[in-house]
Amino acid sequence: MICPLPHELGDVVTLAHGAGGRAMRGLIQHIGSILGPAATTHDGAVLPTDGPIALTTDSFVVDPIEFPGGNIGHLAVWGTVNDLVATGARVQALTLSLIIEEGLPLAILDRVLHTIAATGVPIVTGDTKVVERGRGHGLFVNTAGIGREELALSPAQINVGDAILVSGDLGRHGAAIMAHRMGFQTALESDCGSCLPLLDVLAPFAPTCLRDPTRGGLAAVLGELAGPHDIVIEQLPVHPSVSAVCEVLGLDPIHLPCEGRMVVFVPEARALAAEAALRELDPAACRVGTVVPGAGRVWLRDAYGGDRLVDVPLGAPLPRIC
Amino acid sequence: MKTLQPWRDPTAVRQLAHTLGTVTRGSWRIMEVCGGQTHAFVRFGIDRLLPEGVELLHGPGCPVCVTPAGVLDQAIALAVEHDVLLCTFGDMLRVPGSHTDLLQARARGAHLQVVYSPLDAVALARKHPDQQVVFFGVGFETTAPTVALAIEAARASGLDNFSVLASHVLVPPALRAVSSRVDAFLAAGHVCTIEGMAPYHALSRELGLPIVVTGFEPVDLLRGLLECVRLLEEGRVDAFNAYPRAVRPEGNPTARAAVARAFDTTDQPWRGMGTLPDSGLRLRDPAFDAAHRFGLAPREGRDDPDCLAGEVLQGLRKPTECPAFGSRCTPDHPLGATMVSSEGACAAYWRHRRHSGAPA
Amino acid sequence: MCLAVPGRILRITPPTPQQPLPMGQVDFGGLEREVCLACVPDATPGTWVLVHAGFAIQTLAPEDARQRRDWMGAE
Repeated sequence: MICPLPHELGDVVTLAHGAGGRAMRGLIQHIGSILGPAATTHDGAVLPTDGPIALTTDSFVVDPIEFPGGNIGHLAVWGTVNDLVATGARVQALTLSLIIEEGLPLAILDRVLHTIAATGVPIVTGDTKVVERGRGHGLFVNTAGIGREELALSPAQINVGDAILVSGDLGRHGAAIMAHRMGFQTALESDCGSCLPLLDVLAPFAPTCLRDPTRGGLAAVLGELAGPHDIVIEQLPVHPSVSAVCEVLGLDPIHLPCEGRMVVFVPEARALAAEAALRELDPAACRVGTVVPGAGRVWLRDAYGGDRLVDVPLGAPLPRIC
Repeated sequence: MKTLQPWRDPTAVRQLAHTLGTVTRGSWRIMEVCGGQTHAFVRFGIDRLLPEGVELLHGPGCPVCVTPAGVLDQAIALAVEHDVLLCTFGDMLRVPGSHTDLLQARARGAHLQVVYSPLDAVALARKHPDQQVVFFGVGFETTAPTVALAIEAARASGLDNFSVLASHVLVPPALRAVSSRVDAFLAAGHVCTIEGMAPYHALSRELGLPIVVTGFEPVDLLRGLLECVRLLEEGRVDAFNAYPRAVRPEGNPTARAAVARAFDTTDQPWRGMGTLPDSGLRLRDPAFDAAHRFGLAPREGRDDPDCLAGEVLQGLRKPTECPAFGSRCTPDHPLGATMVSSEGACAAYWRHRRHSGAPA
Repeated sequence: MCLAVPGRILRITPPTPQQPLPMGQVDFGGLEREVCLACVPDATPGTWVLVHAGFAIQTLAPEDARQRRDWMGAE
């Protein structure tokens, strides 16, 4: 159900909405009407736990706030849910903090809030602040999440010989955003979505480590996790539209962020079976590489029998003409 | 992309590399002159398929590498000190000027926009009539027509808030400047899409060197190298088009005419190489010249005294022979433009150096 | 200085006061963009073009299998 904007809130967020008075109460009540009362009525939430819990937090800034295939609300929920999956945990609850730039149209805020509500992930407490125009990029969102640990995962468990799998094709989020920003039209959408189903699918195969390839893409994740070994990437699943974006703008799919994918390290003995299980969820899932003896470098095997070193760029990928 | 697959076919590549190996008897220094070629050699690992007798040099054909520091300083000044929206290709963002780069300038408040096409800058000017928009025009003969036509579009639309900071360069003078140190050139295919083959036939005769025009896919590069080595082994001096699907003998006269309407040839400083006569393009119409509109004086750029990029670009020194290579100078903190991004000769060598110890 | 990729023209838009250069919608394979066709006056819908920085810089013949075989066969 879409809750209509109360007339008295106005069209845009103003500093009054963040000032602690009646305008703010009105905004908070409106947010609570969309996310459920728990999100806004108490200073904190008290939750039952049993066993080890995982805790993670992430902040989200994206331009544009609404992009092909989603909005910052999707990223804020699934980003933290997926970070919990990467620690082997199933999300129990999220906090939601909003820093809103004055002048943000309330209609946009509403669409983001409805997106968050529609994920079904419980938002049990939160906070709202409003900042002066020019300081907020429209909207900053932070979510913190707790979850019960189901899989024991750690980079320390990665061994030489482990297989590296991915749960789907790569780079859709980064390619969709970059294409849109550079004035291209494409049916390609962000892959932002939940990796929760992977906890059940992967449990029988006892993976050693999971990581979601967000900023910096697969290259960044593997660069972080390779040491003390080397990693050789043998193939990359890339959708033809993502390839087209990369060729036209001079980008490398290995550097593009995904928002609904997981990189999975699993011992060789269980790799084929794990890959088959991942394919049931997404036919593009596949093995991409192997952990080999080395010193923390990541190699990409080319089609001509050679290996090329994969760099992690200093900053965000930039389109080029040269 | 499906259209590019035949030019990446592994069987074809292996065959060509093998043939290149059998045909190469002598020891040849072949310089490729386009950042796009450098990038392609490294990306596809083709440089590691070459026989011993072929030494591949990375030449000055990259706007990232040859745009003078003083011009970068002007671009940064426009973005920081004047109230302009500076539109630029992504390539230029991390190139060091005398003190800083455009990316750091943006962090300090410069109004910057990365664009894919000069027409995107014109569109921004149309959309925001109260905002001065400047397009940072860099590049070789491939890109000059796009900037020339963007100016025509702006003029036809009656825009008074669009101008260009132009720093375009021409390939042939650069080849002349370095020819004494190489045995042959691989010329840039897309430059020749515009220019055609005539200037390269003339240049080949003038310099007494073979020049082979190549494309940018693995098959194109190897085919070009093979033809080049054949010419060298046979002692023949000629220009050869190894990229006929994109290069016609006459080039693109329509594009060249647009450039002639917008630009005059001028003497131009090349970063690390000094001023080469008639090697650059100067805007004819001051109304669209950002340097004129904003009163920007030419700036004497300052390069780090330890940076030997100029010698590298001219084939005088290998990056690995530079004292700063890998120590003071790495892609994370480049002293000069050749260590920035994958096109730079030094960045390409950096990758190779870390290659020793590739897995079996 | 040379990143240019092939694409196929889907349709052509003649010049207007707002957009005084001839433009065309070009398909790169699941990715499309409006591209300036001022340098390729003979191009028509269906023509393949080489595109650099939002401009078509040359028309291309449809992939010529015979030409490619020639390149390989001569070795």
